Amino acid sequence: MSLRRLIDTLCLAIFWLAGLLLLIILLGILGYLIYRGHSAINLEFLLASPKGLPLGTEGGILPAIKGTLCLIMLAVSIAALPGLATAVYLAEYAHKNVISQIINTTVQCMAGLPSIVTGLFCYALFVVRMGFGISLLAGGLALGMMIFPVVVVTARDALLAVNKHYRIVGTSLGVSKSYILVRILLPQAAPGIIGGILLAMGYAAGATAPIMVTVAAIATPSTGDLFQPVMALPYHLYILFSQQVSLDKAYGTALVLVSLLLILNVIAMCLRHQKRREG
Amino acid sequence: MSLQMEDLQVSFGNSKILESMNLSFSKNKLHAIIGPSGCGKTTLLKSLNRTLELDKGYQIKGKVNLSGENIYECKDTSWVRKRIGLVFQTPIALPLSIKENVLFGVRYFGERNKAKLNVICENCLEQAGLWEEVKDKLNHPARELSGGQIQRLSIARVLAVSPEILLLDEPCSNLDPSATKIIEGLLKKLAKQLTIILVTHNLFQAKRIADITIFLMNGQVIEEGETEALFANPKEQETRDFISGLTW
Amino acid sequence: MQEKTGTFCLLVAWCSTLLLMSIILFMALESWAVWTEVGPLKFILGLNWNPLAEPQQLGIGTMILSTLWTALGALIMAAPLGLCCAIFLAEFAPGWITNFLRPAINLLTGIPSVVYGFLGATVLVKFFEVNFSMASGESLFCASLVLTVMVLPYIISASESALRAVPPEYRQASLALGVSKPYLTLRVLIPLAKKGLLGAIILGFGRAAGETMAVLMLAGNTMVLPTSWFSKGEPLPALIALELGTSEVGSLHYQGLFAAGLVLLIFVLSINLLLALFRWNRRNGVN
Repeated sequence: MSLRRLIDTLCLAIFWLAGLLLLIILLGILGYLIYRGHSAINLEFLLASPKGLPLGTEGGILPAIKGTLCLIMLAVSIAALPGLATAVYLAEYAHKNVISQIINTTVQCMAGLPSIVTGLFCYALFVVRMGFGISLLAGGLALGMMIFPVVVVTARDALLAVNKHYRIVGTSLGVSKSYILVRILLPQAAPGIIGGILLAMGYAAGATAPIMVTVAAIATPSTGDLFQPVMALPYHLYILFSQQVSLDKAYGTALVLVSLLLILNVIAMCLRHQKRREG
Repeated sequence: MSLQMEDLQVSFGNSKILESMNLSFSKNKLHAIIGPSGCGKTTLLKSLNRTLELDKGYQIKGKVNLSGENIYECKDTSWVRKRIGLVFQTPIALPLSIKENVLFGVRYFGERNKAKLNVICENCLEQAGLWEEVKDKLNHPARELSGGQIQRLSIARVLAVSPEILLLDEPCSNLDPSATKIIEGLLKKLAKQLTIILVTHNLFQAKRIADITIFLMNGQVIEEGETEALFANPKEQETRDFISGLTW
Repeated sequence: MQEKTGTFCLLVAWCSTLLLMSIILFMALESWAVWTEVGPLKFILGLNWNPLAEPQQLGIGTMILSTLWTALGALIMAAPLGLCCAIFLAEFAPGWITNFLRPAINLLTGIPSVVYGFLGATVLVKFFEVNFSMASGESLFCASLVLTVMVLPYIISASESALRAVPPEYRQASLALGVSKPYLTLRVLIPLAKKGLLGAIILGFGRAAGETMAVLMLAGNTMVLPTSWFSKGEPLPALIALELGTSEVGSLHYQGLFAAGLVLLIFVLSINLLLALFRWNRRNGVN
């Protein structure tokens, strides 16, 4: 009996410690970033271009912010519609047949694709073969490919979470499936779908490996021209660190990037959560 | 061992589920609790061995005395649950062998002696009327058994920790008639050594096997008495309606 | 009768499937020369990578070893910790902690890998340099440590949902016998959820093997054969990221990188297919 008690207490202690450790890791990461990064952030840092020698020791990161925003927008506009269409197929038209099984598995595999492989593929296809060069377009396509499965999975789950009765009521009225889809299902699932897209945007904003080889430049004004390279926050962070430019600026950049992503993620989570509670 | 409920009240949020229960269950008798669905039968049963508090949101007031000792004052819930066993509606085979299913609780309570464990296993399966069917495949996974067999295995699992009171929540509702018959026979036999409290939806089942029948409605005891008397000559109008099939 | 919308959606869905196939095909074509000229065996098992030497040496054995070492190392730490965290969240944590921790875990997946790599490089590597007086603190172990934190949220949320998928009847039936929750967890819940838990660990392995930035910044990027967890190495993704920009298009070096990419792709893809098979089995399983 007492041995069992001991084992019980031990297990309980281990499980609680694991939970505690998780909390410490999370708070540690955020706390340390804020602690080291906050002094670098001011208006100039956000609104000026990198200056100084080597470039980046002075000034700010505006072109990197602009570049990252361009990349996100481009990636979403490329991935959103096909992703939504695939999700609609999986949720509404596929009936657990072999085809839906194959597509589901493919989407899962694409979600697990190493991002450097996506980058490699897009480099060879878009940058080299199609002659786009190192450009915003190539990078946007790479990121679009990367976030496509995220859009599909989140949108599919949002659609599947819509109350089943709506479909039955609609069908029994004799209206077509696409009518129900447009009038009822999509509006009902909209918060979840938008949440998923925001999640995908955050994913795209943080990705480094694919843009390293397809779009990013160490210094450029980031005009937004589709055939010009841009700067991007994650790559800028990598350069600031790996070329040993400035550790302070690197922490500042990391903090800006993480804050941007956290905001996106929190909004996404709220939208998706709210939907789930009603459903 | 006898069990008394003293002014036991259970509520969930603002709604009362059981109102001031005063029931006593006497030693070595088979009690059946009948009543329409949603009348609080399962809640009553779960409150008797403190499994109700595992579901969040229930408030429980009052006393349940097991041979004079209030189980709600006992710090060790596991001791309470060991002495008052509960078999659920759904037959559950734990992901273990047949033998380990029976010994699941026994091992937890510290029995290590192999010979003793074997004896317990055989006895309990025998008591549950399952021994003959499974004695050659004790080490097979329990999920190979049929629903009726698994339900008897659940009973054996509870018997193995040697409870003084056995609670059963509609143990036959998921079983076919022949399996039901086996379990009914088993319960009648067990009632010679144990206090049994059986919740059932099936009036005929209560009539067939119970010594004492308790009729519950809207969280209140309407009537209780010797089974034959209660069915032949109900005192209350509600009981009469229920027995004659007017209220479900 | 299929409707227009349905047909359109099906078409798009098929395109996405074809895209994945085309990635494999394209990478195979781009790296064709390597497979024919160097040969698959020599390429995968070869220990020397020197594409600019005469004659060129193309072997990614050391990189494969580094990849496996970092990923498995991360798994050794992340799997037990992740399982314990998942058990904590699913079975033991009070409601308010779960409500706080679960979104927090989601947020951990939102932090980009470059930030993890950066923090690892400035904090962990520094720590090793100062406390163990190493000349440079980068090592496969550092990379594993950061990968652990990165794959932890994936392992936790997948195993938590596997645990939650166990029907509540099992918990009730066991607890009603008077056994404790840890006993219930170890003897009933984990055996019942084991397929899902294993799936979660495989998922974590796939993530760890394909991760680029963290290993690029932490593993040390040297092409010697790693002999211990604490030696430096250059995992496959880091090799591709570092050398793609400088390799001449069409050269054997360039094609070698695609061959390396293909190896990585096939490796991670088979992990994912295994995972899909697992889920499929579970859905059609007895339980």
